[in-house]
Amino acid sequence: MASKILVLLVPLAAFVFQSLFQPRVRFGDHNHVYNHVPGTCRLVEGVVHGAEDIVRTRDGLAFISTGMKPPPAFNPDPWYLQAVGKILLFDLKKPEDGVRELKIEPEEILSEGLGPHGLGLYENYAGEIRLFVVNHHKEGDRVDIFRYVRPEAKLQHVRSVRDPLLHSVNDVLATGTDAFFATNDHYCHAPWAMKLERFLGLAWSNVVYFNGTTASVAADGFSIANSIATPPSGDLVYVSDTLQQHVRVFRRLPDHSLELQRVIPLFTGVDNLNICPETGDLWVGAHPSVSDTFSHIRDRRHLAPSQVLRIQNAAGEYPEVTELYANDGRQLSGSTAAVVYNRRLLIGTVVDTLLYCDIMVPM
Amino acid sequence: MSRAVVLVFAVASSGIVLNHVAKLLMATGMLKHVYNHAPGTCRFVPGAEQGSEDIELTSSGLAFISSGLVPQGFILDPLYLSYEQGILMYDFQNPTAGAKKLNIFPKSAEVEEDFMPHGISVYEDDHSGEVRLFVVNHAKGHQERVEIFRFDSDSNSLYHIKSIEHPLLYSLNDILAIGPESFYASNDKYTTGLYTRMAETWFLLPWSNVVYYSGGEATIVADGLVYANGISLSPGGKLVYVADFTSGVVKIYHRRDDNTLLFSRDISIHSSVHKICVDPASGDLWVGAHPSAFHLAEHLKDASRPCGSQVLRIENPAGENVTVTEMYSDDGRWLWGSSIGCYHEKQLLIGTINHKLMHCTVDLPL
Repeated sequence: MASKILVLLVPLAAFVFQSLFQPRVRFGDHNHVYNHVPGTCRLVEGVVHGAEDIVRTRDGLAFISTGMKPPPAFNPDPWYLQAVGKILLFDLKKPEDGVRELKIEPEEILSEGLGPHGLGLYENYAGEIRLFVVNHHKEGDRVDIFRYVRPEAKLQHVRSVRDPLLHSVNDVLATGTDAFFATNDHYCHAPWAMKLERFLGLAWSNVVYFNGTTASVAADGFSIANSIATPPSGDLVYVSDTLQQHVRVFRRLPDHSLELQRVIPLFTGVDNLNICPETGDLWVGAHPSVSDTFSHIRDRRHLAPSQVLRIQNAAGEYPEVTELYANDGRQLSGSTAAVVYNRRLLIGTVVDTLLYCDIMVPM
Repeated sequence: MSRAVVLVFAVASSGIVLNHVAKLLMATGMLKHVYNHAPGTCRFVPGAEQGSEDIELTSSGLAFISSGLVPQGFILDPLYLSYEQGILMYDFQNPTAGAKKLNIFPKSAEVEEDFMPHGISVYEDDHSGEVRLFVVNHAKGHQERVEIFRFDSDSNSLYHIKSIEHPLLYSLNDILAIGPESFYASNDKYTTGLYTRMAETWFLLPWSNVVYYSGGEATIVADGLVYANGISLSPGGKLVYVADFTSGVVKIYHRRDDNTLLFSRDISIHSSVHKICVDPASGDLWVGAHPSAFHLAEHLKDASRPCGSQVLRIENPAGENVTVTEMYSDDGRWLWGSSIGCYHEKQLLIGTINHKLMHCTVDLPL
């Protein structure tokens, strides 16, 4: 009798132990984060409600999404719910000017509540700049496409794209004036179901392609498809998976579906990806401990570590990963995105501040 | 009734075992992922390919380097047994000259065949300007010794003054010179056999200590350490820093007038801390560490297997706001098994147990 119980108990105990231990490893609880900077760093004034995503033009104009309210499923600290969604501009050619808020036309977009998340940038050689914004609008997720009018520093709304396939959108990658890839970071809709989806490590998150008229699934099987980027050549697509702690490298097929080539393991909660248009380097914002980031969202006093990685030769067989910035949370909590222009680095966070660094180490 | 007792005992003992296993996992850094970054441009220093386990700087920026160590208490790749032991010198003012082996006089069998240097320490006499080098010598086949040399800068040689032996100097690792013939020394383990030393590590036995020697007498001034490794002095001479390799902490002790030590606090480093270099200008501690002792052990067993390196800087170690910054980190891409990092005028010299010596510029603001 006792031996029968043991036969059941031992594998059960092993299963329980494993399922308690594994998510801890995936969520990064076990790593100690050391502090280091690439040069002198300072917080950018006027940014207090996050800088979740940053994208930049070829000549160093950085667009920043701020004021994202974490959804109720994350039990957010009430402080974050006071945030007002906006798009900010930071000119990396003139860092001393700091950030400025961009005007949006029509005004209703801001007044009815912008819930900005990921950003995508379309820039053509005729000088047209379009900003694609993931908007967690109260009527449902959509992607807003704006034209940036440089002389007036304003965003002119062109169209909003809504589709049943775009239901839990995180980031967007512009591929044309009206076309884009977007990531859905969860499959489930209900908050409790999303929590379970994460904890059980269900790989149901996907990437969707919108061709200007219709949307289709381009790739799936992600734990959390977070961000998406493409090198200047446009033949490859990089997608970060936060819980699987890697970047997936896809080849883009003629029908815009994605064929997996390889994976770049990063061992950290990978968030937003940015490509350096000059070198093809991948700039990665990451959460060394996703569980601390979640705790930080629940309580702003709980610090969450931050990290910025640089991946050289990302398209090749042997990518080289360098850690450009790391912090235990005291200088910066919950980093999500990084852009570099001319040895100047901007690091954004989910719900906190924006950090500017001069890069003094060799690159 | 007896079944319940057995069950309770089984649960309790498996709890104790699991807790110990978890402690070991954390101490060995097996689950840690190491990233790469450097504070500036780095290159290997020619002339030092067989280890640079300890480095000490003189006030004029000359670096003494202990080389060729065959570490005790580890299963070793036979390659290391072919290494040449010696003391090297590197001049920050003359970087292209690389590292040069110092001649040791007099040339005796004792010092030539028997020489296995480990930790070193520099003692500079303010009045006479004499520079002495104290060297831990695992005199092969003999009792551990401390060798005291006088450095002659004209001939770049070390002249042997004295050998010191004492029963309390039995498992030496590092040394800290306090006077012309007095010093603190760390005994890293209690036993000296290969398997007994390994057992001491695996069972996390706190049998390591620090000893003070002067005038033929020695006393234990700190004990209960798990693996006392590097030992250094604050610029004012009031604090003694001891690296505990297995616990992953730098221990700070107040130094009393009678040279006994009073424990003050631990600074957690979460890595296997090895040797410490104190920057005389700022009082900052620069610590060489192994992000994963597990990978280090694998590298010692097989010289072709890479292991990581790490150098940390500790600002304000004795104050309220201790700041720890990672100045160099390497997953094995370039430098394997860093044991020490010494900072001098915007440059960092990183030594390893048995790999190469690295010089980096420090382009970051400090």
